[in-house]
Amino acid sequence: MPWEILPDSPPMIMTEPARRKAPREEEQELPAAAPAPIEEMVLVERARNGDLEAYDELVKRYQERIYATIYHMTSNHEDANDLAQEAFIKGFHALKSFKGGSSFYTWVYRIAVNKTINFLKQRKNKAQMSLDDLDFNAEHDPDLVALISDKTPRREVNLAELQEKLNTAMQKLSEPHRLVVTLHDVQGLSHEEIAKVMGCNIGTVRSRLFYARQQLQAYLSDYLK
Amino acid sequence: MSMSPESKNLEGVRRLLALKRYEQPPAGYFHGFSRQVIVRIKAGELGNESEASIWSFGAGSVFQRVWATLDARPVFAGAFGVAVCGFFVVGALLSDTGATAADNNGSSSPTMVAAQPPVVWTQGTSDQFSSTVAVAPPNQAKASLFEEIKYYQQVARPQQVDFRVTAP
Repeated sequence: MPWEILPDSPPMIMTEPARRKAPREEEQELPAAAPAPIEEMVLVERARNGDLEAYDELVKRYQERIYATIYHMTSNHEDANDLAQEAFIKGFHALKSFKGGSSFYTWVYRIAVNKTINFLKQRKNKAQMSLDDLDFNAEHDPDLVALISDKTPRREVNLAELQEKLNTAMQKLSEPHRLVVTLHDVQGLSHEEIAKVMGCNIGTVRSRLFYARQQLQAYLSDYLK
Repeated sequence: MSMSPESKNLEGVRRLLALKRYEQPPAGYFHGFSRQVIVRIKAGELGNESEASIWSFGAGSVFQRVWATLDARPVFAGAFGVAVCGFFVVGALLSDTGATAADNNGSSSPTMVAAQPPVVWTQGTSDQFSSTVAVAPPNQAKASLFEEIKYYQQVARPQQVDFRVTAP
């Protein structure tokens, strides 16, 4: 599972619930907070000098979150794969311009988000979903069980159907609204972090999040009765 | 204090969105991800270094980029096919008209020969020579072929000849 704490990884890769409770590394990137972990800065410096092994390590650290964000934005595995790779490649070539004002993670996140939004603008008329499979743990999530248990006894079929409806509803949102929902409700980023990634103020993030949830509520009303 | 139905539904949306966290790429997908990124970076660097091999069939070559564009956009592929067909059709038409023009100029066709008036070359009395003998006329040896041609252009005059046979 991509959100689990890995034994040999820095404390940045956490489960989603853990990320909600524990202080996140992005919170440390806020202007008044401490700089990014030194190890990351060393890796960035080495990668800046052309050390591909160091960059490989950086990619391994953030690949899952970058991929997940792009995937939830596009609802397409192949597109997410291409865009995530391109984001990291662009990140490598743009390392010279990375000043270290924010963490490498926030910086590469912004590259990925901009790439994805540009891609979605071009793709507008031929949106086609290619969804990832659901993790088997989904069947045991109490929230989801509560949502679907009274619909049908065939839980697997219903979960897949719910997944498709959910992704279809997500694709109906505008890109900024979808991005806010993805970053906050799926990825678990704070309003401040989202504001930094999107380059807007926190009030805008909150209003977009509220509006996006209202839209989703209307699209998914059958599952919310 | 109980939640309003609207906030209850918004909470439902939030819980529903949690389902997306269970969407996972194929098993082992991330094992090769960083390697692919590094390979593409290396390929890109090689492409930048060897500008001379821009037309080669290697990664990042023009051929590959054109192929990728055609692959990604079926409209481009169709347009490219039409353009290639058009190129061949125009080429065929041009070569056909070119051959016709050559025929017209070269008078190799018997019908065209008949249609053209015969030409008789007349020279001065001392410059009699056969047009089929590639020999310079006596006493008129020229330094070069160009001078010879110039000489004939000045001296020779085409004259209409009437081959019609009059009835006795």
